[in-house]
Amino acid sequence: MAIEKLLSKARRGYNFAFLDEKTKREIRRKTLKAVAIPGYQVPFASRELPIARGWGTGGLQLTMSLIGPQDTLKVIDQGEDDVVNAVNLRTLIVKTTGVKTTADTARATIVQTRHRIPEEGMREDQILVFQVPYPEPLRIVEPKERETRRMHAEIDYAKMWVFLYENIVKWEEITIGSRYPVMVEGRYIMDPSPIPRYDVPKLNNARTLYLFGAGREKRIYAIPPFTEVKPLEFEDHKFRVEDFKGKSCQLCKSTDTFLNELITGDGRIFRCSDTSFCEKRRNNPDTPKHLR
Amino acid sequence: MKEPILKVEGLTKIYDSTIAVNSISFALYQGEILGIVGESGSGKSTLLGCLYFDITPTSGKAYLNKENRSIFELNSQEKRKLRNFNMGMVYQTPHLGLNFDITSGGNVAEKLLMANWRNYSDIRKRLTTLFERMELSLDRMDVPLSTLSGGMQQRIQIAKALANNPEVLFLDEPTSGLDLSVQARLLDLIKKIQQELKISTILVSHDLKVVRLLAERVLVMKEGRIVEAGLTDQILEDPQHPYTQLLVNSIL
Amino acid sequence: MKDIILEVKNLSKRFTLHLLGEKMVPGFHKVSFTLKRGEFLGVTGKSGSGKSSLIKCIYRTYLPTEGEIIYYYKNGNSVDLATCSDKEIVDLRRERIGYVSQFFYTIPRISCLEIVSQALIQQGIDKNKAERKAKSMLSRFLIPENLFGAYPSTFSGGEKQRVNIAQAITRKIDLLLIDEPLASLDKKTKDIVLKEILKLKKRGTSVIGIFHDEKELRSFADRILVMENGKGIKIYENHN
Repeated sequence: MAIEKLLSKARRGYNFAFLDEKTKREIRRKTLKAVAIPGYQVPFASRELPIARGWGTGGLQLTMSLIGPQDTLKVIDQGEDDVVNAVNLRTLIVKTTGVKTTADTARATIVQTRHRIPEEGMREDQILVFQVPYPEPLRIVEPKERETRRMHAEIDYAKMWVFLYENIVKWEEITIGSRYPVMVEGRYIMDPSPIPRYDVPKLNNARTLYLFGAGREKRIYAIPPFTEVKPLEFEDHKFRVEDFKGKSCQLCKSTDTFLNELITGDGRIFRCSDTSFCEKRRNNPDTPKHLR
Repeated sequence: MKEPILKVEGLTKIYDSTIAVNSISFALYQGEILGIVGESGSGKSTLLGCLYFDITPTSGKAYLNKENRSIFELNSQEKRKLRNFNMGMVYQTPHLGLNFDITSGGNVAEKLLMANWRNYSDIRKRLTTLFERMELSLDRMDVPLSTLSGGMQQRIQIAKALANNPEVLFLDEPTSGLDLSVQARLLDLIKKIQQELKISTILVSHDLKVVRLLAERVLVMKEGRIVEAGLTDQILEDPQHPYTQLLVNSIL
Repeated sequence: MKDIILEVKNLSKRFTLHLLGEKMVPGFHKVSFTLKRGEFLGVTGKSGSGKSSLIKCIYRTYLPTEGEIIYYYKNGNSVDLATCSDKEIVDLRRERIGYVSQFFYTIPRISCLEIVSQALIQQGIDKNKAERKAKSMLSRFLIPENLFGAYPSTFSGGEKQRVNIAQAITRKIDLLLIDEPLASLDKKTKDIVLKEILKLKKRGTSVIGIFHDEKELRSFADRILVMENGKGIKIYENHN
């Protein structure tokens, strides 16, 4: 058996992809349920991993349960491939699976991400796995889990709306930066993980399967392809993304990407948050963001 | 009075060993204020709690607006919808009905947001109308609820209950615990608003004087049962049941 | 039956005082009479003879112990006021039956103008028109205009009484029940109030009025019922 051979080469004393097969099957079952009920948080039995909870173990378990020997993996942290958290997660997955890795979004079959959605449009044959610290969007207005579950069940979201209302009363706008709550398919309010507002519109009607894993909080949820995802907003106080007007990436000169602000000895500079896309743009300034 | 807007049949709530509400039946007619009196523990608040879905009744039926399905047979989403769009509730104390972590206006806005209001300036306009109607100064709208006096907090509760022009309004001892002068002002306000808006109302109170001021008909409850029902002046001047006679004789 | 509005048959009232060892207090016993449309029935008798209890039973402030009070609507339908539902009574009180009690329960913090106009508004008359009518009636009753906005709890006995009558007779009703309406009034206001009541009667309203002075009654009542010890001892046509 060819796959058996591959596995034995990769595992080095561990099962393929670290988790045992029954665990992976459980996670896949929960993932299927999550896909079937877009935006609904499915509880799952989050396992101990050689990484502390809160460091991406939810996303990691999703990736581990989905990945096969033929997959190509990309792991990013805040858009970067080569920061320590992304490197560690990638190393663990590769050590226990032997899969190929890439920094190129377009070539990856599974992308595990923390706090960003890649700039490049993703396709139907790809999966984007989000690491989620706090899966419950209603937690800011309601501390009790039992109560938030009831609120989801009864679509009783007034408290969340009051929070937004009071935001406008106090600040004349909704001040939520990341983790902007979204309404999925007109049914569940969902926490999109701490992505910037800039990435929120990419959740709507996307071609790619989005999976969200919260290891510490033991929840899996999903946005299947072509699902309606709308940020919460008032008719006269619309949701707005971050504004980078007049700014461009210092490296690739892009003006249509999410930029990080850096303070250097020369003052403030801006650079693309998505480093691999930035590199593509440097090589070819015409690299499109959107799929054709 | 035209048709009954709310018909209650055999409503019963049993806690472990006590029957809090014992097969209560009555009708609330369009545009009237129906008083329910009885001492504490008589089951009158439990009755309201059941009708507002705060408490799940053990058995019984209630029909709102000629619907042929009892409101207790609805699923939780439908119940919530009914509560948010068609009902208003004023609890005995503001702590039961309001959120003290947010502004007073936010508390009223919550009821509008529950009913899917999604336009900020429309909400602000409605709040302004409600605050004016409740004789609340507009500069109290955006301050924390906890900074308001008890009487003002109770008016916020009423504003919240009225926010969506509900078909039925439940008042559970809305003025007890307030100073006499504050109580009087609040009662006048309730009367005025009820006359203007003609909202069908159930008023629960242990105080016959409050009921006399507002209600045309009264149910007298004792130990979970209705012991007497009648016109308010009849109950006060010619009470039939021993308990009602005791109650009337106890008016200060 | 078209000319009859009310038929009282063997009506009795007893009070049972449960707190005093089920003590029975008699009100009145087996009173019967009929009332025609537009008729003024005067009721007279000593105090304690059961006059007030009788009209309170008709108004349902007291629950009759036995007997019938058949009320005929103009369309020929009838209802027994002794046993019909509270809802029916509420509707009748709003639309057709007025009552002026001997002692005026002043609703706290409601101005006398509001008291009078509210009765009209409840009949579906719009607020401005109701206030106009109320003002005109109060003026006719010699209530000074600067008191319109005042609470009647501060009024003199005679003023209170006039406000009380005004709120009952400003609107159009079919049956008016009045208990000693002239008691605390002086000669001048007495005449004015009586004139307004008779005006109402002329427009077709039937009146049952309690007056302690039988002689006075004879100057305006169509028939007179004399009560004594809870019984109607005689009823006679009054031909002035």
